[in-house]
Amino acid sequence: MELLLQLLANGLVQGAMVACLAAGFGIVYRALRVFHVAMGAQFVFSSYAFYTLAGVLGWNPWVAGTAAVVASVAFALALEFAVYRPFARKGCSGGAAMVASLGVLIFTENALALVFGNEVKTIPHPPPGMFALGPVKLTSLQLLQFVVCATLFVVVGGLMGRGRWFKASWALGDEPRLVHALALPMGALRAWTVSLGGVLVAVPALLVSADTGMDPHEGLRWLLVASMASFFGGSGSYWAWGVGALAIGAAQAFAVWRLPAQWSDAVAFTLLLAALALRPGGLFGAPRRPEEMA
Amino acid sequence: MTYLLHLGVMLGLYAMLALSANMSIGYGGLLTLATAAFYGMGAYLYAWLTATAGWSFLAALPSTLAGAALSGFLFAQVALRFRSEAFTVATMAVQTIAFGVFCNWTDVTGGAYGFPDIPRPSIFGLAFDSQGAFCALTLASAAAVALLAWLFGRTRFALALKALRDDEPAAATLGIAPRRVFTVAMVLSAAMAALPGALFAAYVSYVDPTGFSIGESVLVLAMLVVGGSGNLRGPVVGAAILVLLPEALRFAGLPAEVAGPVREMTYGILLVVLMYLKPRGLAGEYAIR
Repeated sequence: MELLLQLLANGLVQGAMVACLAAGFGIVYRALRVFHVAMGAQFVFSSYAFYTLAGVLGWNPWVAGTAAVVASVAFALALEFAVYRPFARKGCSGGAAMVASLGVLIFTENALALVFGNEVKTIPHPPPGMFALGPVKLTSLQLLQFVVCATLFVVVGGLMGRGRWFKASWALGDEPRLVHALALPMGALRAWTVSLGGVLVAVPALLVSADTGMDPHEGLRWLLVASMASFFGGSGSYWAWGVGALAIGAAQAFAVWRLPAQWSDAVAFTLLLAALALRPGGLFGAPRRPEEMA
Repeated sequence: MTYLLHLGVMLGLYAMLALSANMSIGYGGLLTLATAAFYGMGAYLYAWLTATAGWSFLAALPSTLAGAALSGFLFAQVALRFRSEAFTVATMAVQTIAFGVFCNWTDVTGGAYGFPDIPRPSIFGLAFDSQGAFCALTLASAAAVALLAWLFGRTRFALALKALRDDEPAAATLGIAPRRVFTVAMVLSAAMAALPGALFAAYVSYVDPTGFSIGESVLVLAMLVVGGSGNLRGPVVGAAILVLLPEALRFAGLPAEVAGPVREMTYGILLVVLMYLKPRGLAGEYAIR
């Protein structure tokens, strides 16, 4: 029983981080209608920005973290202006934009590998403290990961229903033509959406890299985790992404109960794929036939 | 000369892989990133059958293709529940699962240590143990696959597949069964990817999981983007360009630790630029949607 509670706690920590990533992926995918593969590039870019500032230049970790989030937003805006917007203006297909986004991911990962090398980089820090909550033990870094990511996800989710720009960003995904009809600034709204996505991706990226280090080629794995969470929850609901993320976190945590840790991704993806095959629209999405997804 | 023969082998292997992906992407419009999963499955299955079970090349190769085809059939049952980006995510998940199996099922695959001592093929006493003989075998296989792909492109089935790619609901109203047609395409694609996998295993006599990661699937996709898809020319042109491009970088005198990332960065830029300027690629018929 103690082991199960410990695994559940680990799953919640992982799920909170995946929830932010799923939201960072989902809002861009939903609003811009681009399968945001470059989210993986944002993940590794912000991790390495944090590593450079905190690990190499020795900045205070909080200042370095804030600067890395700003760098992630700058990266997102550059992506929007250099790739996504020109593709949208030209009327390129979603598949074309997705492949271009994949190109950005490949370019970024390898540019980072060229500069920093392919080996895992870690940011030196004192051993984290250990907290016991009954039978469950978490490190101070795990607690920080959970608190920061869960708070960010809930705050952004709350604002999605209240803040003017947040609501407009969501509406952009529902009906893009209404944005023009309501005289909302389409360009600024797109830039705002990718920036918000940049924040939602950067924060868990920094917390993951502070814990386990980073290598330049892990972006695609996190993209897959985030997109699976988003699809599993159902692409039409912000809170459903959180449920999908918790399911992935729990599946990864519980996979190590009976199997070696390196099987966790394979087991989690197998379970989610099986569940998605039974309900292709996601847990909270409307049931759809495959051809309706095209 | 050995170097040129090695290039010939690589060209043949990647041309077959690109033609395999073309079956799903170019003819079916199903953007898959799981090509390397079936490539790896072919390599490991062939390696196990020949090195562990002691089967001959002529027995192991058809069994490998049949095993991959069966896997492709099962894969299709799940992946065809989705379309568009969700289909691609499902293929990425399958690729990740397959890679996890290659890395961690150590009793069969050898895990990160790899699978050694895979014998070179021998057909009716003719051993393909020299570089030249193996290059001839690979290029002959690629030519046979290309011929079959060309013949396939002239069938009514290919027309049905293209019709589904272009407008699935409209094609379905004409009596074309999407699930059946797409399933056959994915089964053929899986078997076509397993063939170069088996030949690769036999060529290098050793396989490890690094050659079958999602990066390899992305490379094959890049071949279709660069060369084009939906016909025979595009994938072959794309494979030729992306196999020869790294060699050009090698002659540019870049050190290996620089040449690798620079090559990949070039792929990345090509994907962005070609998707914007020439979405049908250099010689293709189909623009990815």
